[in-house]
Amino acid sequence: MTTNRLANPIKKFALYLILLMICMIIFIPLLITLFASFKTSMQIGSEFALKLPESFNFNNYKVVLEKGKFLQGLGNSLFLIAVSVIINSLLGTMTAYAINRFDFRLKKIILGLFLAGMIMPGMITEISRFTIIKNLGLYNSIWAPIVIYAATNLVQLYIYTQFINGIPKELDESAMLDGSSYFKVFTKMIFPLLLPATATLAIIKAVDVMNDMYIPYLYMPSSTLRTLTTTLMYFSSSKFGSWDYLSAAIILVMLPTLVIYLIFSKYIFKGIVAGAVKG
Amino acid sequence: MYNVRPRITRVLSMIMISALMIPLVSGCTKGETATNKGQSTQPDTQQEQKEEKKDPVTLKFPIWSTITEDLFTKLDLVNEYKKEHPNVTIELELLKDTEYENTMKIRNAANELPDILPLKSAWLINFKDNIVPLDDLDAAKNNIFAADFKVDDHIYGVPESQFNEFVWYHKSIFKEYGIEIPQTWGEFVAAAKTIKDGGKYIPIAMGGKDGWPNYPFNEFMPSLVANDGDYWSTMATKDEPFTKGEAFYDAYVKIQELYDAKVMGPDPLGVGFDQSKLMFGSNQAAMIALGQWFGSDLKSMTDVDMNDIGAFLLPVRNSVDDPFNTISMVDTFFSIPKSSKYPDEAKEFINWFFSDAWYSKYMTEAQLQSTMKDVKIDLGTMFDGAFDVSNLNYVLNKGGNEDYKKIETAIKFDVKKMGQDMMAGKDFNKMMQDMNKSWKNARSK
Amino acid sequence: MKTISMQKNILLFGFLLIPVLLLLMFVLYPLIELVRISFTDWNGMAAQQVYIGFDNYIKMFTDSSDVWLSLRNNGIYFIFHLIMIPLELAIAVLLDSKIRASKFFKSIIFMPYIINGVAISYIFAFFYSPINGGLNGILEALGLESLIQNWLTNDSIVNISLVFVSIWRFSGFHVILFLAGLQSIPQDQFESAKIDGANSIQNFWYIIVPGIKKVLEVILFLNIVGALQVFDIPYIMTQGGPGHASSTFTLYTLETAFKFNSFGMASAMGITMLILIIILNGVQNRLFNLKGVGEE
Repeated sequence: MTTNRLANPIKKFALYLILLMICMIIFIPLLITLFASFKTSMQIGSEFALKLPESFNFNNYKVVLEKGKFLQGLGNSLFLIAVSVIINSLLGTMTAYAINRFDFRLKKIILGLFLAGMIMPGMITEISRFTIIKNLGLYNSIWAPIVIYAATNLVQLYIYTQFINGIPKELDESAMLDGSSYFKVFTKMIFPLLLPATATLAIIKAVDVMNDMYIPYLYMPSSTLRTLTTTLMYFSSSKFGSWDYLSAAIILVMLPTLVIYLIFSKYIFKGIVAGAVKG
Repeated sequence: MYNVRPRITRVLSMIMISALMIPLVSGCTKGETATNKGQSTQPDTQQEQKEEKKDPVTLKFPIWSTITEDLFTKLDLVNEYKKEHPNVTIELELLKDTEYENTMKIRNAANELPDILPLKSAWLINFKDNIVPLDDLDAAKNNIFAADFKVDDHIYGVPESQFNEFVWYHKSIFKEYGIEIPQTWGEFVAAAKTIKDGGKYIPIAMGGKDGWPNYPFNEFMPSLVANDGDYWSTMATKDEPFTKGEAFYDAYVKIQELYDAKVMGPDPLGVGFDQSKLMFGSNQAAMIALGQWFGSDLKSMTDVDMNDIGAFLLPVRNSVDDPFNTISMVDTFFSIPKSSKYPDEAKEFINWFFSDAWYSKYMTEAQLQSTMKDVKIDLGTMFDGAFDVSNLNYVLNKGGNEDYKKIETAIKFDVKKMGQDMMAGKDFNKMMQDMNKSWKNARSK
Repeated sequence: MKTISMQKNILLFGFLLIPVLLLLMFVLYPLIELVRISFTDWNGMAAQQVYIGFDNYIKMFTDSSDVWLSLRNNGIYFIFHLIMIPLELAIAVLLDSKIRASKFFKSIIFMPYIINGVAISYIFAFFYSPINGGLNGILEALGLESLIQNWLTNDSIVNISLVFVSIWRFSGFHVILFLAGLQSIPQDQFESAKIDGANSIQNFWYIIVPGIKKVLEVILFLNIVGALQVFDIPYIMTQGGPGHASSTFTLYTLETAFKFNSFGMASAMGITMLILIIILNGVQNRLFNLKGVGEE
């Protein structure tokens, strides 16, 4: 907040020390995994975990890429992400606009259902969800997870409504006076003004979809529909898992999300700052 | 903030468009190969062309192990079957072993079970309302064990393989300490202690964290001590099976003796199966108690000297004059759900799976013993000598009847968790007393 | 005016049709089923379901002490995350001051949140491993052998080890949320406070705390939901073991449903969990005098 508070060099040193320690706590487990991915199972079993690998032995990666059908998984994951993000931004902005700008019966109930969706005990209700997906004829197709991801997202709704709250109502009203319809107000004004929030939510959604394992596993078991994350499961089954391959698979699964994150992190922070907390 | 908008939109939309394109492109290539295949099968004999007129059928066939998947790929199950049944496509679904049963229960509730449903013996009872009887199936009639696992007097599943339980060991380590293959439980514990006293190796690798790896002891030893493969059902007829003199109690006293000897490394409960496997493979541990299936696992590990590895049957008896009881496990029961749209095709597939065209080739590759009359599988040299023990007696392991299942459900009876508690050093006598109480209570209901 | 109200209705219908349909299918229907099954003895497989009244709800708490143990473990997650909240806020305040490389630190601190949760659990399972595990290796290298523990198998430590993973994964997210809250406080408030001669403690209580109230609400809500539903970390790392020492309520529910074929009982547990979340959230909001998420 104020620069002069940090004038004291000892304080400053302590501050950086704390931050560096936090970074170390974050990095060490990841580094261990990275190193392990270049080691043979024997080396993993006998060496100090933080010892640098003797050489960049890509054998584990080769096995994982070949056996895990990684590229196919990546393709499916990217498709899921693209469609989910588009559907979610459309549905999310529309719902938020309707809920924030209008008063109507059932509004409380709809909000209540969104809340219920967030705190519902997931796995126990899986049987009901599965029945629905099956009756929709979506089982074992890539659309099953897409519909599920679109279904409820309280956090997204929350952020969008906060954002719309920040757009003065007078803007809507003056547009309406100029002859725009509600629909036009939404498409020409609200939706574009929500784009920064959409960017943030899109990235968060992309990461969520990329990381989700159980829904693709349960709803699309066909081997051609494996996603990046379900391939991780392939290398972690209880009887046949082994650390050398698993660590390479973990690194490979992490890479795409990390790349997305590092490219777009600026927008994540901006979006959160701009929207999440103005109230 | 708003000035960044056009760029984000552009970048995001570029990414989305390219992401949408990837599956489309790969979809096209897939389509092409499919038509190519269709063409190549056309110029075949007339008989096969007749068969092709049958409607195309897809049979869903889930499996729970990556090793099975590798074998099926290597031996090309899908195309081998297509050769004889051109209208049938076998669609393999690889599921996670630990989630398999849950997945099938969820799918069952929505009537979405696969066409061929492999089950473990203990699950046959759970699924009996949802699968069809296979009494008339040739594969069932010629199977040695299918009739032993009847539920309500019907055969519901045809078991694929039979195997034994072994203790795998490093020959060099046994030589180093001058240890002979143990013939009794006492000798087994003593051998482990000798290795422990040497201080160089962990005597027995145990992946206690995962729970299930203690099954050779906690799950199988009661029926070995009782010489009763269906011991769970017997237990269900008793009020207090956790009392001295009962087979369960006596077996668990032995197991506690082994765990208390601290011969499983500094912290067996912190080690997962994969790590215990590494400890054994990398010569850090001298022994590991696991089923026959572990052989193919060992072979797939790099840097393991297979010549140094031997296997012996876990001795549970007190003296060499007693019968040497050993577990015979029958696994992977092929069943057909009632919800399958193609039960006839599924039956035909099971018959084919157990026929000369496939079965012995597959079982030899998998290094498992046959369940079929007239089929013998060559297991190579790995188990040389393992079966040369006096008074050998096979105990066929079963999963327990419905009475037992009721008690198991009511008190959440879980021997593998009990095994973990025993490794953790919980009070053994109190545990047994508590079990007696809740067991009796559950039976009285 | 007539056209405007009609326009409004058409828009509401068009905009809300799909979301409401999805809610009906994926929230309302499963919830009704959950309530219904909780009054039956259904085993998850059989065709028949016998209604048995409140038996499941009664048995749930009387049959076994494991359910209390599991709930206690959820409590451990809740309390430790609660303790972390002031620390997270402090880190956010540090990052908000104009230090060099704050962007870099921000990116790093948020990073665990975007890593695959399943992968994180595996990473830490290895980190805590007693055989060549990272943590014991580091302690050894630092000459602190006496601190070496059976991190995942000692009854009294295992939950702390798992909570640490949870904190590792989610704290960065909280820090960024707090940071966002701080940055939304207008600078002129600090300037006028400075003119009034306010010290930094006063700044904290009268400017920062009210400014981040909204974020605090969100984080407290997420903490309740997260702590009560924590599942994948213990499921992958310990399967709730040793014994049931690190089991959580969700893990225990799943075990009841699938391993022991008592779907009726598991559904009753699910309902109990829903009610617990609602009650706790209400109490917490009262306590902190907050409005709460969803009560717009």
